[in-house]
Amino acid sequence: MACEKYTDMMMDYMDGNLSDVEQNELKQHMEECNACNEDFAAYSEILQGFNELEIIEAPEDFAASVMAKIYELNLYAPKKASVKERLVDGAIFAAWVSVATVLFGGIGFAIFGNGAVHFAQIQGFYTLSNIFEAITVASQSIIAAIGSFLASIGNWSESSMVVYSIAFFALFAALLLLQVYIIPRQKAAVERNRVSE
Amino acid sequence: MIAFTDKSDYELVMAVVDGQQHAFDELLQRYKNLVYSVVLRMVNDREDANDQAQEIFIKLYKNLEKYRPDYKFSTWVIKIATNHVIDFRRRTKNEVLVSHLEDTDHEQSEFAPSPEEAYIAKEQTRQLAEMLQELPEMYRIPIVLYHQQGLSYQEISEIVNEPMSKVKNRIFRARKLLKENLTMKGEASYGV
Repeated sequence: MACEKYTDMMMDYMDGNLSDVEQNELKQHMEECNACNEDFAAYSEILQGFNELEIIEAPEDFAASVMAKIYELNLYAPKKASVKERLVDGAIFAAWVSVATVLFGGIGFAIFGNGAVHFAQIQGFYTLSNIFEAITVASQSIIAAIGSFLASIGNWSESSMVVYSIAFFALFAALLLLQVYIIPRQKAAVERNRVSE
Repeated sequence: MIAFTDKSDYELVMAVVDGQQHAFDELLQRYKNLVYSVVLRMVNDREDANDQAQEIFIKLYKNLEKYRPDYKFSTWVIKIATNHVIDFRRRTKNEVLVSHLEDTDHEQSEFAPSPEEAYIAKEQTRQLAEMLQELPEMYRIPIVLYHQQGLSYQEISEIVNEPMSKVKNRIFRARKLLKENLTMKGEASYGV
């Protein structure tokens, strides 16, 4: 039936999607077609009814009752770290302290002890052209510092000092990797599992 | 206490999950009327609506960690609310058809219509609320969300997990059913 087209137009009208031209066309049709005219009146009444149906306010004590239950549930209270987490954190902290003691102790020894010569080479550190040299000298100083530290506590051969220095750097790098990459990733994975449960 | 009023919904969700429980109160203030009215349109009893709406907010709270900001928070809220009410009705088979919820006399409009106009408008609203209760759920939910809550077809399709074309068809069908119902009632009251 031809009226079907106008019913579709009424639907578009209720969606607010009817152009002026189409509205005129619909109006013209309704002047001739009583059935569509009545339909349109009914649809308008329904729309009007929806406009009158207000958002009904929740009872006054609604939010307070819900909040009381929520405080009771208390699902997202900051969690205490588990024994395992605390042990891992403690171990990492101890490792940092050890490495720092060796490095800075060594550097201190290097400055005030045998390593003074190496440190003196960093003169001119602030000029840009010396920056690479300074970095090289600085790492040499640290190796030397560790060497000096080791020398101060025992009788080491030169090659074993280098090996131990490299071991310290490796330990330092491993700790850094653990702290900034591996542990946060693991924590995120645990968190994801907790959420998806 | 920190002021949460200028925070976005998502920021509030994150704050709650982060342990700041009272941030949930702001979410409650923003959405309690929406949830309550949607539920009341569906269960048609103020006491049931109150209980259901409270349960919905507890459910929202328990599931806050699952909220992803790809959805609008309001869409997510209504999705949980409608699913909850559908479950509730299934459990209780509580198909109350008679409307007695339109005791909204205390809500006054700004301009004062004549007593007859006011009566007719109120009568029409009451009639619509009643007819809505008679609509099958698959039609009632989308048409209430669309015409009363002003949600888009897209949002409703996300809420009811049906394609947009299906949602659109159901809303069209719902309008037609309401129209037929209205015409029938009109004929009956005029004795035609």
